[in-house]
Amino acid sequence: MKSRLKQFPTKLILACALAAALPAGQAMAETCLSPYIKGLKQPEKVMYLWTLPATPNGGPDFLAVIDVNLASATYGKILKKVHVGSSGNEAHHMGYTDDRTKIWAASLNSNRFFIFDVGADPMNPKLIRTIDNVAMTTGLSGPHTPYAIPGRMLVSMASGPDGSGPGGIAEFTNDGEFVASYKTTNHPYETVIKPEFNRMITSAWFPQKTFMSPLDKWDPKEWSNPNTMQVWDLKARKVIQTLTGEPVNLAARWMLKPGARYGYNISNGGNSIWMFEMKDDGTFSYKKSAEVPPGCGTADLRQSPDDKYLYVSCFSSSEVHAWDISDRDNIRLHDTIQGVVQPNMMHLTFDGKRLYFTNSAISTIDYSPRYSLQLIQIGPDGRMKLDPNFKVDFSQAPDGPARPHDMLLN
Amino acid sequence: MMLESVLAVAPAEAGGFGPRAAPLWAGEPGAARGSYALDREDPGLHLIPMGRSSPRAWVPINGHARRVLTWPLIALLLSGGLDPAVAHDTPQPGDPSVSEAPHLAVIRDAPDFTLTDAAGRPVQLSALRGRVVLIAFIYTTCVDACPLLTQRMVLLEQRLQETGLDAETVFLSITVDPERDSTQVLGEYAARFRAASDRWRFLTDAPDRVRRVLNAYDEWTRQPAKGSLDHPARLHLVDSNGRVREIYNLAFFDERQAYFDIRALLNERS
Repeated sequence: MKSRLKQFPTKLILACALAAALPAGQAMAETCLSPYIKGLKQPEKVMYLWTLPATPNGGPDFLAVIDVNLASATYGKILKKVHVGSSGNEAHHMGYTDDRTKIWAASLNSNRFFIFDVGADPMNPKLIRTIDNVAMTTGLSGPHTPYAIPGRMLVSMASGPDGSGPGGIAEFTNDGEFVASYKTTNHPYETVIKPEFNRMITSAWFPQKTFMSPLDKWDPKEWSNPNTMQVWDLKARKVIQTLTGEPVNLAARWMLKPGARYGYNISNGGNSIWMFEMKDDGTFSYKKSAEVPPGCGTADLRQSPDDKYLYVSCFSSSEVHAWDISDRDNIRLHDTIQGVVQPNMMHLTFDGKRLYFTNSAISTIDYSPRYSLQLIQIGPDGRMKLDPNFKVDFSQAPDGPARPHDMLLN
Repeated sequence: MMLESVLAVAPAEAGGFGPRAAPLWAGEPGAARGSYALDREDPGLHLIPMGRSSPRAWVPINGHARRVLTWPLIALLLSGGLDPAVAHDTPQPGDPSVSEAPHLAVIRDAPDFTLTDAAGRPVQLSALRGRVVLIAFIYTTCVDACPLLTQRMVLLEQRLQETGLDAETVFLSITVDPERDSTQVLGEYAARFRAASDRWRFLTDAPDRVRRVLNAYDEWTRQPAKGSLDHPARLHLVDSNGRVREIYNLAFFDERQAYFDIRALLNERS
């Protein structure tokens, strides 16, 4: 075999490969998903919105299927609600499997996963499996964000099995079979992976016992290291470094440029944006990039496909910010949308032009019942405009008001 | 510690909730929405460096290298291949982009199957117990990701041979396109890569038999454009006891890491 390998025209091939590759430039991309997921490469037709009733007897949580195809006669309408058969789950975050055929929807309160098939008929998701007793299976509770890796899902779990103490990461097959758990020293919120660097970062927030309690019952003494981010050797499934910043590091995003070794995260408690960067030895530096305007209450962080802008939702001050990050070490506030109410989750389209947002965080901390899904149009200059022609009002639904949270597009 | 921004929520809603009076920017919304066709671009059509010590090593993101892997390049790839020196360098001590001590949890039992190799011989997975098996799903008319993957597997095979681990390892490349990939076609494909051997088998069979295997490995196919196939493009690493211990994404497959994974599974036996 060695002899045959020696026959390869090696340098020429590499030169051709690089010459062909390098001019490709920056591409559009569906951001803020696992890099292992097949990305959407065309305008979205349907949105899946993970929703919970806003009243105590409002019925089961549901996946709202919303028409977002501008050419459709039912554009902007809820086409159907796929109920999950149980209530009180606290519908929160979702994630596609790597092949985009299934959605995992996590329940903050009930420690369940709901798996929907969206591959067979994207306009008609089907609930194909409910996984109960996740805390017993994994030794962890408070499932937050399902995140795809090849053939499997990693789920950031906020706390120990009884809802208190540090949490960890749980690993399942795409079909829902438990693989393994990995404990941490904080309360994992979100997982972001850079496969080519073999690095995973997990952010942190609160234990389940805290976030499912009324706000006046929140006790910081019950929190373990909420001001930390953890860096993992992905292949080893091992925490190799803890980054210390300000409290409650919610969303984190790696930059997408080829070779980019850095990214940003928001700190809710610090009202700030931080930058993490991998050094040559695989360890990370971590520093504050910017203070956001006082009172913002950073809730979600999204990125443009070209690494030029970050979008920050301000749950408390009811604003959405666009931050210009072209100069990575001197990021600045570029534009602000005001007059919306408690914006929380956002989702940017593959072309970077449409930013959907919802406005329920958790039932324990929402302060306005005016629940809705709205849309911000983003211009070529990165400026934002609230789209007056798109609004799905969840506060006036015939079957009762509901709290919309996480979104996925297809 | 108080979380000022969480706890100090707005006492009352600020501002109105209805649509703004101000119009969208010039040309909107029609311009933005009407420009979709022009704006359709595949994400990830660039190559990315693999690791600190491998500044010259590149792999396509998300398997969509169609635009950068031109036909002349494909021809070059098929005529020869990537030299190890210009693909992923052997990792240096402390290289963070690979882990020499991978954690390889038991994911599930690998579904058993019997398919036919390019020489017409039956190959049963369970008959390979005692060895580590790398299963890849390809199709021969694939012009971008599949040839690159096969090249990476050539490099992996060489590394295993250099370290004396090749006799304990089997590669199975299974077609996802059994209608077109006959044993003869697969044989020619393997020959182009000089890859056919008793330790690297290219498998096909009657379409219904292959489909059952694809379904068992969650390897669906769709035909988005004439001549091409969309499929999850995963690789499965099966240990000597017939259990799936790692699943790779084709676009991020790094033969250096796969080598350490195989070595770890082989070491488990001793």
